[in-house]
Amino acid sequence: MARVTIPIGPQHPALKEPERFMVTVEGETIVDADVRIGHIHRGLEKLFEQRTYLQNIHITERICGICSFTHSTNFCQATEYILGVEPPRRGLYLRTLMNEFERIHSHLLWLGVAGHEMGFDTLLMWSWDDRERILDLFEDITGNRVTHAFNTIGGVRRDITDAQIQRILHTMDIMEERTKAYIQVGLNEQTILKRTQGVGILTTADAKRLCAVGPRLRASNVKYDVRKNDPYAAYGELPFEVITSDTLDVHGQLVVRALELLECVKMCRYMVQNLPAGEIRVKVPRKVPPGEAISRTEAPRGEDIHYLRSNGTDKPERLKVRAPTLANILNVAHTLKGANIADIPLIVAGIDPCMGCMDRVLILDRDKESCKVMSAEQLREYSIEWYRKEAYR
Amino acid sequence: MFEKMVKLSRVKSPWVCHFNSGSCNGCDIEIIAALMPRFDAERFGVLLKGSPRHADVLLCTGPVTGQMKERLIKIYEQMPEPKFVVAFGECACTGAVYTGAYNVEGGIDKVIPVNAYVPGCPPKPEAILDGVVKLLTAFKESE
Amino acid sequence: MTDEFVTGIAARLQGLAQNIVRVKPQRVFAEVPREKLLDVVKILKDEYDGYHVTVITAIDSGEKFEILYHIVAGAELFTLKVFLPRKDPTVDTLTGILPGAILYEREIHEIMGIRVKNHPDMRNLLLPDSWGEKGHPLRKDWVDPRTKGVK
Repeated sequence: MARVTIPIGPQHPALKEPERFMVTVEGETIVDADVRIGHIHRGLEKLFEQRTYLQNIHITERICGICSFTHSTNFCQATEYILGVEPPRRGLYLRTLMNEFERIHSHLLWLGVAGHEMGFDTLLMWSWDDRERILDLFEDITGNRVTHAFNTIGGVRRDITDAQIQRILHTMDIMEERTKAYIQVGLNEQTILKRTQGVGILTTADAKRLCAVGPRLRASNVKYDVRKNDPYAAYGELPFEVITSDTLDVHGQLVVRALELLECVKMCRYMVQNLPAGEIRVKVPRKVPPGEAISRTEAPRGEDIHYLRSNGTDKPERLKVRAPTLANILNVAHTLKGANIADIPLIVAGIDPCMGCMDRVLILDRDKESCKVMSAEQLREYSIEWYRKEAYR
Repeated sequence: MFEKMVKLSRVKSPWVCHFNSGSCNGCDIEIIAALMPRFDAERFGVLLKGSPRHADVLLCTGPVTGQMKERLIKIYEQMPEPKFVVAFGECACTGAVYTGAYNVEGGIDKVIPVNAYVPGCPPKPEAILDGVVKLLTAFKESE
Repeated sequence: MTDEFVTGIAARLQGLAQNIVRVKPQRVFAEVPREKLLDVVKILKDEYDGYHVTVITAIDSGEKFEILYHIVAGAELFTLKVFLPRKDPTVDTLTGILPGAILYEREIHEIMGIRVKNHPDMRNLLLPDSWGEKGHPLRKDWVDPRTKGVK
């Protein structure tokens, strides 16, 4: 059968950031996949070296708009380690609380996107509506919905009041009820089961070999979570389970994320009920002594690592950032091999890419020298239609 | 007569194409949030389209990176006339925190002409609606 | 317990790595000459369950380049430091042992100009296709051709 190469990307309709996949297909089956990233490479690592530590907190928040809090937590932790300061416990708890809020909003976002990709837009509408409740909490506590400017070196910048605690508890009750509904939907709804079970299988050995991280790794049945294995902030004191799944596929990722939502709700409740009294931050000097530090956190998408080297001035010598999506891109290219064209959107959405994209799909037949342009929307419709036909076969 | 009708429908139901030229995703999720049940931009006729060929308004987020510069121009050229460009978010307006980074060209207006600016980091979903409405009002009043 | 681990691994890596220190729990630093890098990585992988390469950092420290391999091995996060002379920044690829390193090696190649020997795929990863010969932006002596160093 003729081999056809399809470039996918970089412009996209809805959600994700630009990136290009070159997919080689034989009929419906993908035989090879290659990734080109860097469409939104801005050169932040150079920029960090030209800005002061305080300015860098705000730039690290803008590495990614979805997991902004994790990145600033990471940077602050690394700087605090070099400075030798420990934030007060109340500050750590508040930092952890915001990290968990972020995980809830990010997982709900993923659930909606996955629903959208499999043609189940009702789920998208539901989960994004519930996500607004978390964004309301963010706005209530920090003043902004997406970038919070809440973290600072030595603690956090704002305290929470008793009234806010009541509102958090109220929202958590709603979230728990809604999450249970989503778990019911995820486990029983035929649309979801048909589209996700057996799709995008990544075996445990491959997941380890290709250095997968986060929910993708846990869906491949590896019990690894930075929050548990390398506790930071207040995670060492919190009760929670690391969720894994042994189905290895996209459905496993859905189950992992849905069950993690319940754990997040549990943790948030525990944190606000056991919030230590006292200060929220300590004062730190502007200049940082020479040294180096590695800070790791568990972002909603997986392990996030910052390496910081300081040189005694008020600007860092080097700050290296590895966001979880870069680690997961490799296994997406791997899982795409052998999959159907119709499953591309779901497999790519599976890792919750912070830069995956699907818009202009160009189907190019080398033998016939013909060219067919497809938008991602058309690809999505094509995949839904393909599965509809499959159901009647 | 026909032109009037086209103009009326354009004002009543703008089709929007969203393009990320190097944004951090913060603006992008707020655009989607504006279309979701809470804000529901679709009740005003705003429809998000995947292809620039169907769109009246190009909603750009983020500063322009070296790799996306040519692609942004290409997308802009694919849009049918009359076309409008909205720079959404602080980075799209000026480059904001990314100014001076080696792979960042600056705001959207360094590359293509911009009709409206929506500042904020990221702007709230209400601001998107406000920006689009202001743009369309200006278009309606222009003859 | 902590010291036992460090002395144990120091004995195992005798002659291969120097200055093995644990600065805090789960953060082990070691200096490795570049000829011995592959041996150390192989030992970490086979004997300490070090399958996960988290990231590779390249630092320009004037005279030399430093390449930092952050590898999770068991419960520890190892950082292997390799010093390269500025005139000959060449290092062996890890991809034969840890295939997950492929993207990070492409990254240090293009932003810092480190030559990675035997790497299967050396195309641009992050920089634009039109970047061409504008140099390696993360080197300290790199000047932005747009501004020519003028602020």
